[in-house]
Parts: sequence; C-alpha cells; structure tokens
Amino acid sequence: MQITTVGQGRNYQRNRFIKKILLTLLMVLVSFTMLLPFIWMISSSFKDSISMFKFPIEWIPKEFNFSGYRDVWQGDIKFSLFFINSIKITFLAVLGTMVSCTMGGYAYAKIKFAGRDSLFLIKLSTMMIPTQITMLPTFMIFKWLGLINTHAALWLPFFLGQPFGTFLMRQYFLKVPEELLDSAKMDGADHFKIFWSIALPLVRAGLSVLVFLYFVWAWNYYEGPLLYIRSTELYTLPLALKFFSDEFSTNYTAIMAASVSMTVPVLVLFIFLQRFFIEDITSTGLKG
Amino acid sequence: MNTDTALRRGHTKIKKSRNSTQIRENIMGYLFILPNLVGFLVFTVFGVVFSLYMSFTDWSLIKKFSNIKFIGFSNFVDLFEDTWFHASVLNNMWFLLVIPVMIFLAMVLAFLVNDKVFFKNGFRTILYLPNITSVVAISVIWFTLFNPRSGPINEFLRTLGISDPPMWLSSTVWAKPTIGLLMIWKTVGYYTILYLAALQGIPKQLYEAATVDGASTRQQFFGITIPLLSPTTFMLTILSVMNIFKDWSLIQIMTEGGPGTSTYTIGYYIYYAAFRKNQMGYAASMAWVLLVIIMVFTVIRFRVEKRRQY
Repeated sequence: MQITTVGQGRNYQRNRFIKKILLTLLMVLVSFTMLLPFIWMISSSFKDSISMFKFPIEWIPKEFNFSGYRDVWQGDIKFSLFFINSIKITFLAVLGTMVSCTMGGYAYAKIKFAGRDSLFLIKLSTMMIPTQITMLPTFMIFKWLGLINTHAALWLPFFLGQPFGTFLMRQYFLKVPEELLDSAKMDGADHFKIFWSIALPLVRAGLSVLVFLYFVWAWNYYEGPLLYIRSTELYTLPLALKFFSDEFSTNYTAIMAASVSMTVPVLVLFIFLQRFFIEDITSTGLKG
Repeated sequence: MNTDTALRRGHTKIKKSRNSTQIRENIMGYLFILPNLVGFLVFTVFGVVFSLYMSFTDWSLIKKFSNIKFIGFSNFVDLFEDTWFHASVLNNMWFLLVIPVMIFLAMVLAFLVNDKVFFKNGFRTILYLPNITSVVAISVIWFTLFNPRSGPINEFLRTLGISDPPMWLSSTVWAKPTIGLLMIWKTVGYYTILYLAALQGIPKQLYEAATVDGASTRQQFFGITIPLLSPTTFMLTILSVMNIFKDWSLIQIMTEGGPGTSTYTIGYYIYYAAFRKNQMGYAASMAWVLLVIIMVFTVIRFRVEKRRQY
C-alpha cells in the first residue's frame, strides 16, 4: 500500500517536472517571437543593405559592417544633436513630473484643504478625456505663447502636473502613517518641512516608479515633437528616426543603427533595474 | 464661576487656533497643487471648452482669427456624409477584433509565467520589452520585416512554398491585420504583467484543492483562473477599446492611413484633418464624437464595477 503511494507520488512528481519543462519550452518559443525583432534590429545594424535581406538570415553577420553607425554618428545627420535634445527633454520632463506630481500627490493625500476631495475627483475623471480633445486647443495655446518650434512646448506640460503621476504619488503618500506627520506638526513643522524631510523619504519606492515610467514615456514621446517641432536641429530621437526612415529609406543599415542607438540604452537600463520595478509597476496598475 | 469663564476662554482660544490652522491648511494645500491647478485650468478646462467652441466653427491654422466663422452644426452634419470618416469608424470596429486575441493570449501567458515554468522573471522581463520601446523604432523594424519583396517574413513564406505571399502593409486586405498583429505584439506583455498582479490575489489553496481532485492544468485554467480574473479582463477590455479609438501614432508612422482608406481610424483622421488638411474645426467635431464614444464605454465600466461591489 505504502509503496504504491510513494511510487505514484514519484510518478506524479516526474510528470509535473516534465510538464514544467514542456511549458518552459513553449514560453521560450513565445519569448523568441517577442525578441526576434530586437535581434533582427541589432544584427542588421551591422550588415550592409544586401546581406541584410539575405535569406536564410545571418543572425550573426559574417562580416561586421560599421558603416551604419558611422553614418549615424559621424555623418551629416547630426544624430548626436538629436541625442542631446532627447536627453534634455527627458531630463526636464522627469524633473517636472517629480516636482509637480509629488507636491500634488502629497497635498491630495495629506493636507486637509477646502475643496480637496471634489477637486481630486474632477481631476481623476478628466483622465478619460481623449488627448484628441485637448490636442487642438493646446496647439493653439502654444502658438499664442510663441512656443511652437521650441523645446519648451515639449517639457512645459510636465511641470504642470500629469494626472496619472499625481494619482500614483497620492496612493503612496496615503500609506504614510498620519501619526508621524502629527508629531512633526506638534513640534511646529509646516507642510513644506514635513513634505521634504518626512513624507518624501518614505515614498522613495513610488518616486522610482514615477521616474521610470515618465523617463520611458518622455524618451519615446513622439506625438508632441511631431506636432510642435519644425526645425531639424530641434528634433528629438523618435522624430529624427521617423525623419530618417522617410528620407534615407534605402540606407537600412543606418536606420537600424539609429534604432539601436535609441532603444538599447533604455532596454539595458530596464533589464538592470527590472527586479526593482516590475513588482511596483505591477502593484500600481495602469499606465497606457 | 471663575473656572467657568476660564474654561470658556480656553474654548474660544482653541476654536480660534483651529480656524487659523484651517486657513493655513487651505493656503498650503493650494500652494502645493498650484502647478497642477494651473495645468488643469489651462489645458483641461479651457481646452475642453475651447475645443467644443472650435467644433462649431471653421477654425483653421491658415486663417486669420477675424475670418473664422461660427457655422453651427455643419461640421457634425458633414461628418455623417464623409466617406473617410465612415471608413475610419468601420476600421476602428475591425480593430476591436484584436482585443479578444490580445486578452486571451495575455491571460494564458500570465497563467504560465505565474508559476508553471522555470525562469519566471526572465520571461516577464522579455514580455515587457516591447512596451518600453519607442513606437517609431518598433515600426521601423517591423516595416523591414514585412517588406513584401525582400523582407524575411515573405522570404520565409516563400521557402514554405507560398509563391505569392501577402503584400502586408501595401495591400488593402492585409494592412489591417498587419497593424493588428503589431498592436498585439506591443501590448500583450504589458497586459500579462497586469494579469500577474491579479493572479497574485487568487488563493493558492484553490489550485491545490483542484489538483487533489485531479483537475488537469487546462481544467484549472478554465475553471479557476478565467472566472476569477474576470474583473481584470473587464477592465483591460474597456482600456483596449478606448486605446484602439484613441491611438494614432502607430498608424501615422506605418501607413499614414493607407493604402487608400484601409487603415484610417478616428484618432488618426483627427490628426490628419487638423494638421495636414488645416481643418481644425472639423477635427474638433470629430474629437467630440470620439469623446462621446469613450464616455459610453466609461459609463459601462463604472456601472459594471459598481454592481460588482455589492
């Protein structure tokens, strides 16, 4: 009796193990389709336009060709300038988000000012308004302010409170225990002091999620530059890449090298930091 | 007597200090949300009112302000007769078909990556990568992969013996499925991560009990996972519907609505009308139709979510 149950257990264990291996193989296949375009991008960036379309595909090029990277980084197309533009916009956008969303989030969570809850509810419900509604008026406002074809049109809105970021930070500030703030208040600290030296250090996890999400968002921001930027020297990377692929549609190697230069830094950053982020991104839910 | 007045005095003091605290809280609160409030008033409140006004005018970027006329409902009337708008609405409906595929795939992947396979974290990271990649880079890469003449996808199909593979983005028949495929590829990993969060809320004992009762993995998936994930499924469905109506950058980059009108969507047509054809008033009226569509789905969402709570 006992022997048979043990045997069954062992059988069961073995079956489960085999099944786990089979399902892992299935996931490897799925991951491969997710990764294939990235591998193709990197591998083609080192080929010339002829060997790029050779079939079967040479995943590892027989001869490494750096002409694409040379065209992108040393050619007439000022890619380094677009890189600097992107870094500038991303930095300012993330800075603006950090300032406006943490302050707003703190106020909505911890300061009991008149009209707070109804204001927050209104702000929250406007999140469903499609960007197309405000896109046209925003364009006109920027035009009247003389911001069309300036970088300010790209980073300024980030200083004026993104609804999602404010909402996210509010969730984190709500978890800060009220007693901590009360005892600080007893000692005569005002909200600026409490915010800066007590509350903010306690929501570092939320802050890092905020920074990561808006970093990715600002780095990949395409619609804004497409609408507001006219001069080539003000292009950011996404717009520049689109411009390349239209202008130099035959120089695939350069286009791929540009894509690699633009995406790989973000991907590497994410892979290094993912253990830290995925949990938090998961727990906070949505960001389209 | 004496103690009474003293007490009373004390009370008024507290009341006074309470009042001044409240005033201070109000000032502080509005100081802290000042950037938010300015952005909200300028871009959202003014923006919404202004775009509604625009939708009743023949607003255009090339016209002088004094030449802009109030034209009543004629933008909305024109929409009903505009064949491009009809095509956009129909294409949007077509793209809705992508949602069940996307959601089912994400659910299966989350179920697998949750605890059915080795290297869970690695798979999670890989699935998430397309979501943090620039939509321009994604489009550029897939554009070469789908190249009808020499792209690797068609080369592969030719080796399978298909001598006449699809023209993909250059074909009126295949352009929509190709874009749909891209939407799935870009979004499925993100939805998987959201499903994983929901799966963490399902008690392990449920699966253990089912295993003891001899339920297979497939039975567990259909009997436990799918029903218990239904709130997330519902939320993601609504989110996908709204995004499919709204998103336009992928289409702007890949096809610019073509070939013909085969990939025009409402979101893209608004951009095209406003900034390519200089018909801002007309575009604004389209944006308001879009808002109504999205409002309908939002109301449905709140209704269902409320019912679920009770």
